[in-house]
Amino acid sequence: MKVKDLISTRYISILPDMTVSELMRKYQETHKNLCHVIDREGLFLGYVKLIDIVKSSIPIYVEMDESLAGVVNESSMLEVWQKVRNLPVSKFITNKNEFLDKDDSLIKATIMLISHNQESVAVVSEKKLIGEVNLQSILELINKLF
Amino acid sequence: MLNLVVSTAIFVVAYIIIVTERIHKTVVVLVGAGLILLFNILTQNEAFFSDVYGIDYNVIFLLIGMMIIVSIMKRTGIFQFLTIWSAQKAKGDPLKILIALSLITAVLSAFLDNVTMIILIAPVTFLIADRLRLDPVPFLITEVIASNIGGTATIIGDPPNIMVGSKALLGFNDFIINLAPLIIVILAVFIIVIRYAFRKSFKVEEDLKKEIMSLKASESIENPKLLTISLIILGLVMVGFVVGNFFDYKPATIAIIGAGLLLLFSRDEPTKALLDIEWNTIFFFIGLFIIVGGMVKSGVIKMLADGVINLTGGNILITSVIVLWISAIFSALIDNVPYTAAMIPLVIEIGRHIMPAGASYAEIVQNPTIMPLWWALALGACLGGNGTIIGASANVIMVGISERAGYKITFMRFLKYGLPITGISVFISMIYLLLRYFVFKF
Repeated sequence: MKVKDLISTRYISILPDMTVSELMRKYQETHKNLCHVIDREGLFLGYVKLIDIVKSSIPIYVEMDESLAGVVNESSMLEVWQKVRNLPVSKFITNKNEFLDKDDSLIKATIMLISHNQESVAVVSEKKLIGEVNLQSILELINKLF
Repeated sequence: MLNLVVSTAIFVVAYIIIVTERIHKTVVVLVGAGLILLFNILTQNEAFFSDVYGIDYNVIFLLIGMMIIVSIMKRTGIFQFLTIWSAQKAKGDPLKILIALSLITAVLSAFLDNVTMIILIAPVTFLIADRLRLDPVPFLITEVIASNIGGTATIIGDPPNIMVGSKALLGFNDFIINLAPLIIVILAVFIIVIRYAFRKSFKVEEDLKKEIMSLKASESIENPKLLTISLIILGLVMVGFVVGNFFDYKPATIAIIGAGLLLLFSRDEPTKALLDIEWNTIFFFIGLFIIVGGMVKSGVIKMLADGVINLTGGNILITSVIVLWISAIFSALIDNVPYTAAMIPLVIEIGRHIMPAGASYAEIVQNPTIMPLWWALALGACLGGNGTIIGASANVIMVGISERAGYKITFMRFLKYGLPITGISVFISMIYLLLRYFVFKF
């Protein structure tokens, strides 16, 4: 069983100059937790995860010492968020080298999803994004097979 | 003679590599220690079990014991609470907060590891500076300087003191009696200096001060039960350090008992606390003790001691002043732990020259004549760490944390604060040593 057998083309791709607030609207519309970032030629640049965006709204001192979370009120988080929302999503790109080839095995795809704790992994051919493998499609396939 | 050359070469090469930071210092000393054993400069038996040449387990277990205690205590949130509480007592006034945080850091650093203290206080400092819309860097730099000053006051405050205390058979009380009064004076002068230096630096609107007052300090206490247990056991450990002196219980024994009790009563998985032990530091000490032991056995240290005595004519006053300033300069530029490790046997050798042949180890190291040398070494090695950004581990950690938060501290910016304070504090120490041990002799 290969990646090409379970590849999905229903993924979200965004451009790196999109702002965080635009991205947040996209997340709300699609209910996804991860986007694939591509440039204007369709070359794969990496991922932007919703969790990283949320994490960036936490003041640095709380990130360093979680016991301070109860000391401050939400206004400190909102202040940080005001700065974050206008940043380009390129600031939050991660795992740019973590993607699958359409000939990779099912087990490699599964391990990659688990080890990066992602709901989907990009499938790239000649550096261009051609689709994704997600947890849902793997579960459906396993269910069908066994 | 061959052993003398080889052991010196191993020490010098290790030292150079440590200074250049090309390879991790723990790896360097472990390879060096391996070579000392390979060339049979020390036998394995001597390295592991000799009181004179081998690993100093008093230092190792005192460090491990205190690291376990601090690992559990830092989870209680007490340090964060104290810091916010003091900022509120200062009514949000930045200059008063700067002084209060410096004092808290200094006092706590006398009983806790300086690096841990900085890791704990830095996030709260960012919080306070953020609420006041101020640059946190002056706060961070004064805190780390205060931490290095405060750590000099006790045997457990800074690694050089632990090492000196162990080899010179000096206990917790000896450090308190001999160094704490001086550190109080240095701290007072430090506060006066920063009060003057920053008197016009901070302008904060009243509304922002109110934000400090609105912080919920008590929310930082995450586990009140663990806090109570920790405070009781830490209190007992401190009493143990003082009382243990009279019953010949060394600080390492007290620290290990305290760590065991805290692990028992906290009912926490020991793995977390044991993983928090800075094993890099522990193995750095182990390797270093073996390398220095090799130098002692091969006669290098004796040769150096002869040289120092020839240079100073055996005058302990001059030797003390030289040891103080040289230690401060070296400690400002390089890691003070290997420096102290190399200097301790040198002081012992000077002591041996003074005492008649056949004197016991205790008589040599406890000879009142050489006591000023021990204090000069401890003061120079600890206070010198404030000289530069790389002078102490706490400085390096503070700079790293600051950079992570987006505030880069340059070498020169730190030097502007650190160098004058080091000069002043070492000068005061010199006057203190001269007056206390050579003029009034008490």
